[in-house]
Amino acid sequence: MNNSSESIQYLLNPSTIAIVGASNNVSKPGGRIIAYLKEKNFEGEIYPINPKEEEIQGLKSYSSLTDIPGTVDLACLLIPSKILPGIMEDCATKKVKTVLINTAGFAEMGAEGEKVQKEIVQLARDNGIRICGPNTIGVVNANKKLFASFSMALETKNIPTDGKISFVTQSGAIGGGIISKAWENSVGINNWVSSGNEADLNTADYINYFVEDEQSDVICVFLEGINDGEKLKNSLQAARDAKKPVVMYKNGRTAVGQKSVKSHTGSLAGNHEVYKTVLKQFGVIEANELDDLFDKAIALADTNSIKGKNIGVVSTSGGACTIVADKCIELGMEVPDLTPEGKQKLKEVLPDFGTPQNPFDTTAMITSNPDYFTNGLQVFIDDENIDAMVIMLTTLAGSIAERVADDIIKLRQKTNKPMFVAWTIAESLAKEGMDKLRKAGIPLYPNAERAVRSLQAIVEFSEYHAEKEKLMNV
Amino acid sequence: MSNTISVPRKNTIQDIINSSENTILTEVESKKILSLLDLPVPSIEIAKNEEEAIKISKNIGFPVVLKIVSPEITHKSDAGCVKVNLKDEYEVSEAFLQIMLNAKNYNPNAQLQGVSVQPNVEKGTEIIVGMNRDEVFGPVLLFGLGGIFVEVVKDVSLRVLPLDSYEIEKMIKEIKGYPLLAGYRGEKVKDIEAIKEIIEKIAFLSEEFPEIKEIDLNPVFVYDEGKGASVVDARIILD
Repeated sequence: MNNSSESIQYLLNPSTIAIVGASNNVSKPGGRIIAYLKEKNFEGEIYPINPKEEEIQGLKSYSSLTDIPGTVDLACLLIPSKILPGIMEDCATKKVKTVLINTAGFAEMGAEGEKVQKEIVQLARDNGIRICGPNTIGVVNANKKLFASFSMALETKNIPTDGKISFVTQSGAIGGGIISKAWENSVGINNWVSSGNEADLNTADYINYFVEDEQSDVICVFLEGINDGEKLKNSLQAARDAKKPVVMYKNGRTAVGQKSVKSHTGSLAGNHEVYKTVLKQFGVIEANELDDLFDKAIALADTNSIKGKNIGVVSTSGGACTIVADKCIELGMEVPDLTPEGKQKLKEVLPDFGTPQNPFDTTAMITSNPDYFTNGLQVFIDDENIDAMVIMLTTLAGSIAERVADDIIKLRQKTNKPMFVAWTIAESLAKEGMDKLRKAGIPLYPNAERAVRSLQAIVEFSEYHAEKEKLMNV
Repeated sequence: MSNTISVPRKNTIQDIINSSENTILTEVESKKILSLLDLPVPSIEIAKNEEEAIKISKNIGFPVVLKIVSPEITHKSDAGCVKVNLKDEYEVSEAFLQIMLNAKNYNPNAQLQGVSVQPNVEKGTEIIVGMNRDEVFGPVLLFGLGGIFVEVVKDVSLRVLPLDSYEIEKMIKEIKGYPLLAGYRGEKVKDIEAIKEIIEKIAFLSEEFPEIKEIDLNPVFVYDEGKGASVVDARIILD
């Protein structure tokens, strides 16, 4: 049998793809997947399979997998479950490396479906083929121009192709919904696997692959449930040992472990608590809300290590300063005084107004002289009492907004200290500025709470690893 | 930290597990297993009648505790089947009869194997250590302060395996009530090392014997630093 990582390599970076159930009708999955592969300029060979057609969307159509002249790395099966066993036989004959099975109606549909699913997995195993799915809506490797999915999420304009975030989701629908929004906001998610029923390859296999993958700096997981806890623990341990952040949203409480428990320990260690325990124990960043998943990934893609938890707060509004500072304290971070030298410098660069302190209210003068803002920020960057900054912009808009965004980007390029921006104005009023920040990888959030919560993820991750390392050196 | 157990001891534990007709081991069986792991368990012997109860009490010294031994009666206190601080022969004799009577009233069908006699251990800070085998993740260890802290406040910490000594320490420090163990308001620091050892051994037991589904050591009395701990009540539940 192939090892899992090699199979996932064929899944996410194939040279040749066969689409079984290919169609000229782009409103059907078998039509849309080919349309996306072509439109996004997939660089390998695409082989449509449909015995009734000569040509599909301008490509030569084959009547069977076995008619294809070359090798097939990945076969996407978008066909009814009835004919699936026969097609799997063809995959075996053709020595397909990995198959992606979209077909639904298996284990999730009860005992009969589960039986068919087991047979298919056995057939695959006997022939060294690994399976993504069934019930997957496909996979994406944006950096390699592979868009082997029929999810409407692929309609998103300007999907980034230089991202470093990899995403595994058991639910294709939820995954597609949140990934399209993230892509639209220039969040660099390069790999996306909709893992479906996980009859064969599962979330732990994908995590293991992304731990090794140089194109993945942060691993995001939307998890409904798994059967093999030991394997998941091992994959999370591998991620931890590689110091690669995993952000996970755990959905719901499964029926597993809900049997009557007779002891205290049993009643206090319910399913959800156990998942939370596993995440915490292995240094996984938990996403409590769906927004947290990519919010925290953006933060950890910016940097996954921070010296301490002393936060500098800078805003164009005194009220905003208070909101950010309160949130920092609430989440266990500090908003310390600047050093005496820092205070002195702040006084010098900003002679006539405001109070030289942290949190720092630049007041509205920023609109008349953005230099004050930039110089003030520089003082925070240089101050040794400060480990990271949260900049909260309120009604800053238009060209001045763009200027401020440019300045933040320039400052960030010259420092290791994270600079997070919470920008509350309507997107349309400061679109250019916001886009610039996103493209430059500056973590940008629509409010203070999300910005500070995400920054806290870096603090949590750093503290977890600092503690571990300290132990190693004892 | 590493844990091993001699082959004869391991076999004895396996025998206790295999020979039990019930999924819930009695306190006597549970404590026997724990003592084979060198956990701090007070001596425990079964008396079939008043005379035996008195004889054992004299041997271990007064005061003593008497508890019913019956697979069917697991909530012994609720059934009026626990009598503590018995200071002489007369009290032991009376307690024995009272326990047997209460047990019959509580559950007429219960099989009564006798009454256990144990020394009345010195009161310490109550903690709970437990394990529940999760169907997905395997053994989940639990630690908390005992009594109302676990029942009302649910101030507990959980861990899955593997569990090294660093993780056990984190587990102990994680509960909100930790200051009560670390010398709160002039109180002496409690024996944290003894707690660590109990957690470590329960993790080991869970790993070695997959037949064990749940473990409850509740309460355990922890004494001042260097003075150890004492497992007051214990229950092991098989799959």
